[in-house]
Amino acid sequence: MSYSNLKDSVYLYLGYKNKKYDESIDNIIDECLLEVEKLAQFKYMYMEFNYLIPLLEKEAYQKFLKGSTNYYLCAMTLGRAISDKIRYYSKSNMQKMVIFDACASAYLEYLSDKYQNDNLGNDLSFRFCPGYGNTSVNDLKEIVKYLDIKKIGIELLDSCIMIPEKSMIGIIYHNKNIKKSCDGCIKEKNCELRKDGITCYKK
Amino acid sequence: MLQKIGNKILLLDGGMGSEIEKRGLSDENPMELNITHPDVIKEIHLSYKYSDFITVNSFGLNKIRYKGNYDIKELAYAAISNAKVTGKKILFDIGPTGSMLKPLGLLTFDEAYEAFSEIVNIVKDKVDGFILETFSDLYELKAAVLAVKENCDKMVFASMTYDENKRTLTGTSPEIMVNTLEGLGVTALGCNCGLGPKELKEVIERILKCAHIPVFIQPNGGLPKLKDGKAYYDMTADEYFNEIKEFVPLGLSMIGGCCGTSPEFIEKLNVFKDKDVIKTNNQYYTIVNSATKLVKVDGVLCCGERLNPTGKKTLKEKIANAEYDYLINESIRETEAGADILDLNVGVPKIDEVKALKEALIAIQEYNDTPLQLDSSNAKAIEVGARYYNGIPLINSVNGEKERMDEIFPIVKKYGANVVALTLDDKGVPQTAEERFEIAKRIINYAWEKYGIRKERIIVDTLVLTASSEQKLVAETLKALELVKTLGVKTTLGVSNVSFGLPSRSLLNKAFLSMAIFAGLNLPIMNPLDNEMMAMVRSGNVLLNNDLNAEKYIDKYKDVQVISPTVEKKELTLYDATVKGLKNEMESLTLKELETKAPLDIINDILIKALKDVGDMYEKGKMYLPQLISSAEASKIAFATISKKFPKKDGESKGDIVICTVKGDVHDIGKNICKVVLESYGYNVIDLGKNTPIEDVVEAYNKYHPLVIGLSALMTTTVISMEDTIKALREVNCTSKIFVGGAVLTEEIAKNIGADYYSKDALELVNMIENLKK
Repeated sequence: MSYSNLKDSVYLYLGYKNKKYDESIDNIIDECLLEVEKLAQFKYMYMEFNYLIPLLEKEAYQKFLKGSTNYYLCAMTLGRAISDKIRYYSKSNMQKMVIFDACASAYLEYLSDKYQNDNLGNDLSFRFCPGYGNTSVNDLKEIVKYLDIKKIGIELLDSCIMIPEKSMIGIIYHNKNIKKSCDGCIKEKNCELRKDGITCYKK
Repeated sequence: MLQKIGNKILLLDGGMGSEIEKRGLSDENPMELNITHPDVIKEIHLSYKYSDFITVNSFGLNKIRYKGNYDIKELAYAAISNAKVTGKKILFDIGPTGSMLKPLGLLTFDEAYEAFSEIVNIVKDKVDGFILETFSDLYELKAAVLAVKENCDKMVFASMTYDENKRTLTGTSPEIMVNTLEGLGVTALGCNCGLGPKELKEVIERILKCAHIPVFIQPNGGLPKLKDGKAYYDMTADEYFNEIKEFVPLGLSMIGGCCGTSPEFIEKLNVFKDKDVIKTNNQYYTIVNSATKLVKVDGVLCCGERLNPTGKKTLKEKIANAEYDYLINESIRETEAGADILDLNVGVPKIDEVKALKEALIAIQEYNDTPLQLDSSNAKAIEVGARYYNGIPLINSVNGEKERMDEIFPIVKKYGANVVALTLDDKGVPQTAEERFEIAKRIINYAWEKYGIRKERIIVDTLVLTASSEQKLVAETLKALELVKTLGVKTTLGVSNVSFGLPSRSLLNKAFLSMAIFAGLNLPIMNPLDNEMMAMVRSGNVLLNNDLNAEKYIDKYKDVQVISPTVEKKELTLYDATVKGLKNEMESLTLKELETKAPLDIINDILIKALKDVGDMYEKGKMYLPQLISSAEASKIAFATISKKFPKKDGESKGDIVICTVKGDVHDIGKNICKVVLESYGYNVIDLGKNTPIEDVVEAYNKYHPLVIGLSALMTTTVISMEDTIKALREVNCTSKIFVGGAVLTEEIAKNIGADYYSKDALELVNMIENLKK
């Protein structure tokens, strides 16, 4: 795995904004990335659709799909061992916990992108996850009617929290021109990153 | 049929779901098909004509998983009736609840047990046995096994699902599964689903290499492929047969199939039916395990002794107040120092030890997967501990008294535990090694003859007496060790007892440990934080040829450098160490400062100043979250050092703060960061954890009347819960200031839900509280 790609994301998640290296924690990031890679049990599942499920008739999803009716519903996770380790570090080493958590988030995004490129093609939109862009996280409950996420070890609680915590559920389709933006984000008006011209996602 | 199990190869059936799908009924709830389409289900069961056992179509039939409109009892009876048309032995199928158990999920062990017990009690008189399958979580499977065994005496087969990592989704290895399920007394064990026989090869081989009871397998018909959005399996019956046949010579007892397999698959396997099962005669070992860590007691290991309140005032207080964070942190320190097993004793006067042991072990195992030794003279506490332990524990202890053995051995037997056997009896501590040897023999024989407990599950303690008062008997302990080893058992000793009452205890402990290792000690109970004692253990393993090629020893010590006293070390100040988060330096630097400064001066002029400076740099973007946390953690150590030397008097605390993540929310990273920063500033933080019921927050307010109540939530869905919590606090006229925080919170939302304040991060929180106090 090329850690240099991931490290930029890790530093961003840790609040470093434009700075991409810090001597005091760079070694810890390396350690954590290795450990995340060792512990992760990455799983991905998807289902292809050529018709709109009722949920996607909502305006926000229509804006994303731009009239397309061919798309994938997908779910992915790094597995439980990552959650167990975050919990362990929350007691033994809080600093490492925060860094490990950021590494796990970066690794999940990396593996998910890689899986999609390898299996679904590289002309895909960004992953639209309910809760983003004026949609409700409650929409996740609709999506999981079609995806048996238990098969890959994800549970969706009543509050729409996913466990294990390094899991994602979303929608993608074949349109690489569809990029993520800040529109509709809950933090749009008071985002600390936006103040400095940075985004939490790759532009 | 029962006698055939383990002696003759028997056939289970194949996939039910895939057969239902073939008949175009996959959109229906499979359980409900037992009532809506009984003929289809019967036809599928009948098609498995070569199977010796038929699995009832009842996989998801428990009150947690099944949410349909039929009565569970009605569905269960219909399912059984459909299976009975075959005239064969029927196994009631119990699958997982579909909800994750704590700590990751919300379901408790007792809730899972209750759901499984309910269905077992409904059907137990109508079936020949139970098959518990497709489990990923060992704890949930334990609940299911106990639900069957405590409610009936029917046979129980149990299997787990493995993935490409050769572990279940919750991290259980094949060896851990085997040790745990055998300990719990299942009839047969194995693996099913997840992968095909080829992909499961290593898992199946590993199970067969360590199991001592019948093994069954039910792999999928290969790996699923996707077509038109649906999964299908394209492995043929011949291909399946060719993979499976490799396992038969390794000792397989029963064979079936899971998703993607069909009657043709089972028909092909018929050539094996009633052939003799190859006996593996696998060796027995002394194994203690959690759900994810297995410890084989062999060579010289270390059992950490620090989770024992004897002579430890702070630990006594923490246990008495049910403050288990302290225990969790100590357990992690012991693990990181190299302890293989941790002794857990919560024997504090006037507390409910049964409740305390249960709560303590659940708290520890939530964070630390090092196997535990449950240490108590209270048999009820031991029983509850063994029940709620996620794995196979070590129990401390029995002795030669029949009454004690009859109290503890049934628990050992039921939960598959290992047990420490003290070589004393109702006549007291024997004076000679020979007498202790005789008691050991008596205990081992009694365990086997009356309870069927093998000697591999017994670890003998030949008793350490203190050299200060029983000097002549120290050698008897070592002689007894040598004698006891001839019985083929493992041994343990509470090493530090030898030096009680004498100065320079560590010298005596080291010398005694070294002698005991040579005499045959396997599991010293000792302080793993004592580096030199741990060095004795590691050296002992090298010198006794346990650590082959001294691999572990070299790995541990190769980088250790001796610092020459002539090399000058740059003077490090407490302020610098706090800013840089140098945790290892904090205690010594704080003690040095205490030689010349008053505690309050150190706190205000150095620690708080350092934290404020770090906070300023953080706000200016010159320092970042990891450094903020590191400084906070370092500062906590300084505070703890000062408190130890100058215990706080009542009323001296900076203030109590209650924090929690609200009901329905299980994210707690942000909350934990706030906690460590607040503690670094000297506040006493009462952490109620995550998914906190509203009534617990109100109870905490009534108990502590804290300065501040901090509520955290990550999701828009759980902000509602935050609002309800605030309402409940207002109803009791809460006078504490209520702060809220979390990714989705804003000032506006905070105001709308009735909070007093919103803080965007831990630093802002502590600054606002400091201002409040002013």
